[in-house]
Parts: sequence; structure tokens; C-alpha cells
Amino acid sequence: MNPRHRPCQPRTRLGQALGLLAAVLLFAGSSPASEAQFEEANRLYETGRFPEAAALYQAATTNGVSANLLFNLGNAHFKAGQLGQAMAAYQRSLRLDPRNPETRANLRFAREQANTQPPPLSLRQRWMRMLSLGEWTALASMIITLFLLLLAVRQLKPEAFVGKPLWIRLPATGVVATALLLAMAASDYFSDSHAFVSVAKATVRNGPLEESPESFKATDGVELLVHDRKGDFLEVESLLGLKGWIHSGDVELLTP
Amino acid sequence: MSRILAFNFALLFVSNALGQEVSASLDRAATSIGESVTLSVTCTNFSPASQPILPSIPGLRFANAGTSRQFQLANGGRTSSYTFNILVTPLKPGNYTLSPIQVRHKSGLLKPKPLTLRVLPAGEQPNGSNALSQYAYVRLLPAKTTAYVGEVIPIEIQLHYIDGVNVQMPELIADGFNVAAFPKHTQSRMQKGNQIYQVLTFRTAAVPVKAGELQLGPVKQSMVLRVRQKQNRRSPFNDPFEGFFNRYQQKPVNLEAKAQPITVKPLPNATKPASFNGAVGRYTMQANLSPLEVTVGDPVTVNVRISGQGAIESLNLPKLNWPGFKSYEPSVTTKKDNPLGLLGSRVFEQVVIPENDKIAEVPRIEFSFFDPVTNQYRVLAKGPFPLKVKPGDKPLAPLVDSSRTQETVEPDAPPQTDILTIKHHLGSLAQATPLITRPGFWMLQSVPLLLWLGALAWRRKTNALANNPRLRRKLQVTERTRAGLAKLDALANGGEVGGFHAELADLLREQIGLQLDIPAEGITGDIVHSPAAHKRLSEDIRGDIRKLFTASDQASYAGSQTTGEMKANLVLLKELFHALK
Repeated sequence: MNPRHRPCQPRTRLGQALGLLAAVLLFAGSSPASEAQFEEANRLYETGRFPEAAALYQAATTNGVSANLLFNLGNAHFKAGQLGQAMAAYQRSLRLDPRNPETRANLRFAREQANTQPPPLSLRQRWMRMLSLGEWTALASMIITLFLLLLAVRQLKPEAFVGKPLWIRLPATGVVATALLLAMAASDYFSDSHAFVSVAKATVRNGPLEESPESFKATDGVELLVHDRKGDFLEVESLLGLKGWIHSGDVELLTP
Repeated sequence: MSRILAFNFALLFVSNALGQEVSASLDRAATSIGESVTLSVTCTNFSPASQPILPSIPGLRFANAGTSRQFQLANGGRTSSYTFNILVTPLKPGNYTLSPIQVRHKSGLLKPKPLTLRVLPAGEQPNGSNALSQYAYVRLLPAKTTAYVGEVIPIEIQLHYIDGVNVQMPELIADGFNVAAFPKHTQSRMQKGNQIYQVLTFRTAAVPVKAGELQLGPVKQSMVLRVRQKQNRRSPFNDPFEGFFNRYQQKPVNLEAKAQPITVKPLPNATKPASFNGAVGRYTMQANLSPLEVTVGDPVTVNVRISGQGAIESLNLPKLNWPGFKSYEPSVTTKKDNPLGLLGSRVFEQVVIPENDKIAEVPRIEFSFFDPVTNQYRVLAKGPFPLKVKPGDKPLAPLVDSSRTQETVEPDAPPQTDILTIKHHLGSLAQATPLITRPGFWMLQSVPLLLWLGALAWRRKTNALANNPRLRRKLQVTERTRAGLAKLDALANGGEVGGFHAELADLLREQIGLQLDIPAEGITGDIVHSPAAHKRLSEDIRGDIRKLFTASDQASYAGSQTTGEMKANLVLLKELFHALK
């Protein structure tokens, strides 16, 4: 072995490890098992076996999720008559691919079938949801990385930056702006406490007990806002302002 | 101190002057021969001058069992009670009336209500369930037994008990009704027959959701009763301290009040107004809108307040889908004026947006309800409200309904009749957890940060070297020495005397120059005599330097030296460098 090569070897290994880590962590790709389950579920869907297809799509999500997988899961639930679960799957698909017109159309159609209205969104929420949280993260990460690399280059070649203050100031402004936007998008994502009623008729009670008196009934697909959790019960509010406690098994949470 | 005590007693006397009374109770209404019962005679808000005067009843024996005193502060007032405990021992079976019992008071003799006592023959026990029901029972009291679908029925559940703990909330079984939550109960006292009962009153409201003959109840409630243990002794000489040291037994009981039939009538269909959406009760309506002058596309807030009596929280406003207006879901706030929410108001704030400047008014708002008192529907209406709409800069895109406000709709798209079909490509899978929450992302994100920190450290080091020539020279000499020593080793092994000593002298000059901070060129063995060398180098080091320079000079002139001699000089040179460090 040439001794000159020795110092270079750890650096090469480190680079390879970082590359591999990036690939594994960020771009999971598609696993053969998921592909096979997806294909089989599609076949079941096309032969009209919707509950089995939904179960298989659901099983495929254990290896990772994609917008298409969740879209198909929503379709299978819809065809199986499970409006609430279908709407939750469409909504999750939109979280990954928020501008997908087909998912938006199917969610709108499911809402019409469930006779429910979408929750009112503020202008900020509408604007933030034009990109997915992953897209906001990637954008912020890219700008922050570019800025840090520029800072590093300035240390290595300071003469290249002499008389060019905007080379640093502009990316720095971009970093502050995207970091703020990312924080707002993350806050919107994690504070979205929507749930969809997933049974034909759920009883919303006045307290977090099975014995508590009934407050109102909510049908499959009704959207509820979750405020609190006590044991197996969730404190919810309907979009009409009615409040009560519902059994967690009767709803599909958007953020489990 | 005695004055303060006297003042307190005087104050107590004055404050208790009102509400002075006498009551009497038996700890149970039935007993058997030889089993004593306790008669309690309680004087409220006064202290009697003497023992109560008891009637002489053949077949009953009375024995004093002590006294007790209680003070209670409640509702800003003070209540005191003085209780005489009297042991009543029956000697013959039969029904007895304990009357008159008399207590001396400054106004005369006070008499409590007469009490009755049933005495069974020896060995017979009163019926068990009846005995328990003497200690506690539950009553279900609906305010009405006939109602319309959707009409609120106030309900009272009363728990009566003599003494007990751990009272649970009542459970009302009401199929066909929506029942409100129980607000905080109220507490009172009541005398029934021989007994004084604690009464807990739970109030709620039930709304029938279907017509027919329905059953409201039963009500189930559990608690733990405290029951005084019976003295099962036939001796006429009972325990004289029984009144002081009462023995109690705790008995968990499940109480039940039977169901009440409720006739629920359907709402009449024939006269039902078009705007009726299920409200039953008595209501009034107020409505207004603001602003009254807008530009096309500007929001107008319609504020509708419905107040009155009924199921306030379930009131809904009819949908305000007016042509020419885009409408959003209303925001709703409810104000309850009583704990059950049967009285109050509900405010609907709905935003509507005029879509063209032809609009001159906001249409009439109607709210209808069924009045169960007059048995007829009533329609409340407000408006139309004049509205001035000025033309805007941009025309608004037509929207089908409010549900589409969040989602862009192609204006010319045909109405969707089914969901769009499945996708045939899985697409790239990602973890379900967002990227931002994964540690791996932050590890990767730290790489450019570390690069920048590395570059920063490198820059600092470079700047430090540039600004410190001595440090730079030290690093250069260190590097030169490391390479030179390796070269000397090779030259010694190769027997190259000239090259060895030339290199040795060079290394020696570099090190001495560094130590004395003088140029290396021209340094000879005589340097050891300089003042700087005397100041900075020890005698031993100076001796070694002289020795090495001398050896080097001799070898250069003689031109021959053995490898062993060169190795010895090399060792000496290394020792010298080590000492110089």
C-alpha cells in the first residue's frame, strides 16, 4: 500500500458515508415490497374489492408514504363507503403534494358526498399550504446551505468578496425570510388538529366518559377540530361551534 | 379574656335570636322488642335550660344517652344546634306515637312534630329493602310529562339520604332523548316522618328526538350509607355512653328511581314554514349588517342574534345562500344565562361578499321556530337591508358554493360525478414523519455549518501566522529539523561524512538562530561566547553546541569519520534539540 494514500482514505470514507446517509434519510425511494403491495392493491381496486384494496394500501404505508399511495388509499376508502377515512387520506396526500388537482377534486367530491364544508382557512394558512412542509424545508435548507457555503468561501478566498457586500447580505436576508416561513409552515402543519368522523354515526358526549350524556351526533366524514385528549376521548368542536367529547376510535386524526 | 368570651356569647345569642326551633328524629322507624332506637331532639339556635320533657308511654322505656353540640357557619350566618340523644327501648310490640316531646324555651314550651315507631315481636326484622329505603332513595322529577319533539324538558333528580358518603353522579337512562350535562348540584334538608334527610338536587334537561310514548329513566345512583349499628341487647341497662360513641356501619348501596312515561308529540307538518330547521322554544331575533357601503368583493358582516328560551346550543341559522353573494361559514358564539343552557342567546356572524354592483340590498333573513306554549310555528324576519355596492377594479371569479372557497375550480369544468381514478405509479416513497423532525436531516444540515466553521478556523490560523514571524519561523524550523534528522540518519548509514556534517551544521545553526532570535547564516561554534547565548542557554547546552561544531569542523578538515562516530554525533544532536525544546 502506498503510504501517501493513507491520509486520503478516511476523508473518502467520510464522504461516502455522508452521501449514503443523505440518500437513505432524504430520498427513501420505493421499496420492492411496497411496489408489489401497491400493484396488488390496484388490481384488487380494479376488480371492485375495495375494502381489501384499502387494507393493502394501508399495509404499504408502513414502508413509507407517497402522494399517489395516499390518493389511491383515499379512493379505496371512498369506494368502500368510508367517507371519513377517504377524506383523511386525501388530506394527507395533499400534505405531501398540495397542488395536485386530482386529489383536490376527489377531496371536494368526497366532501360533497358527506355534505360537509371545508374548514375556513385564513389567508396566511392558504398561502402557507401552497407548498408542502417538505418543500418549505427543502427551500430553507437549500438557501441556508448556500449561505453557509458562501461564508466558507469568503474565509478561504476573502479577496473575491472585497467590494461586494451584497454577495453576503442578500443570501442572509433570504436565510432569515425562509427560516421564518419554515417556522410558520411547521407551526401550521403541527397545529392542524383536524379529525374526520370515520363511523356511520358517532356520538359526541358532554364529557370524556361512556356514561356522559350525549351532546350531538356526527355522521361519517364530518370534520372536527380536536382541542384536548383525556384517555380514550377527544374534546372536539364542529365547524358549527358545537363542542363535546368523542371516542378516539370514531375519528381519523390527520396528525396521529 | 373573660370579657371577650362574654361578648362572643352575647353576639352569638343576638345573632341566633331568629330561627330558633326544635326538631326530633328517630334513627329508624321500625324495630323489634329489645332493640333500642335513638331519639334525637335538636334545639336549633338556642340552648335549652333543661332536659326535654318526654311523654310517658307504656311499652317504651327512655334513657338519657348524652348530648352533643354543633356550630355551623354558612351563607354568612351562624347556626348552632344542641342535641339530646335518648335511647328508646321497646318492651311490647305495637305502633307508638312519640308525642308530646316538649322543650323549655324562654317563650314557653316548644314541641317538635310527633314521631311514630313500629315495634315488631322479638326476633322479627323489618323488611330489608324497606329498611334501606328508610335511609336513602332517589326521585326523578321531570317538569312535564307531555312535550313536543325538540322541546326542552327540565328534569330534577333528588337524592334523599340520612347519612352517607361517596355520593356518585346520577346516571339517567333516556333512550330517545338528548340529555344535557349535570351542572353543580344544590344541597338542602328535609324532614319526612321521623327522619331528617339531606337532599342533593341534580338538575338537567332532556330534549326528545322522536315522537311516541317514551320512557325517561330509570335513574341509577350509588353511594355509601352510614348506618348506626343496632344495639341487640335485651338488657334494660343499655350502654350509657352510646350517645357519645355511636358505632356506624358503612353500606354501599345502588339506588334507583323508576322510569317516568313521557308522551312526545310530533311537530305539526301542515303549517311548517319553509325556513323551519328544528328550533323549538320561544325566541326573539335581532339582525344587522356592516358596513352598509362597500366595493364589489369587499366583505359584509351579517350579525344575527337569537335570544330566548329553549335548546340554545342547538340553534342553527338557515343557510344564507343568496344569489349574487359569495357566503362563508358563519362563526357562532353562545351565551348561556342559566347553567343548563335553557336561557340565553346565540350569535351568528356570517361574512357575505357581493359579487356585482347591481346589488342594492341584502335579502330578508328569516328564522322560524315552534312555540310549544301556543302550539304553533312562528316566523321571525329582519330586513331586507339596503346595501350600496360600488364597482370594483377586478371582476370576481364565479364560485359555486362556499365549500369551494379553499380549492381552485376550473370555471368551465363539468360537474364531477365520481372520484377520479387511481394512480398506477407509486411515486417516490418518503417517511411519514416530516423531514424537519428527522435527526438525519439536522445532521446533514450541520455539514455546511461545519464546513464554514472549519474555514473560519483555518482563516484564523492563517492570519495568526501572517502576523507572527517568530511563530512562522518556529514552524519552519520544526519542519526543517524533522526532515533533516531523517536525512542525517540516512547519510550516517551511507558513510557520507561530508554531507552528514554539512547537514548537521545547518540544523544546528537553524535551531540556535531560532533560540537566540538571530539569522541562522554565519553562526559558528563561537556563538556560545556571545552574551545572548550566555543569557538564554545553559552551560551544558553551550558545551554540547561547541562539541558538535568542533566535531563537524574536524570531520570537514580530516574528511574521514566512522559510521559509529557519526551516529554518536547524531545522538548528541537529538539530545541537544530535546534540551532546547
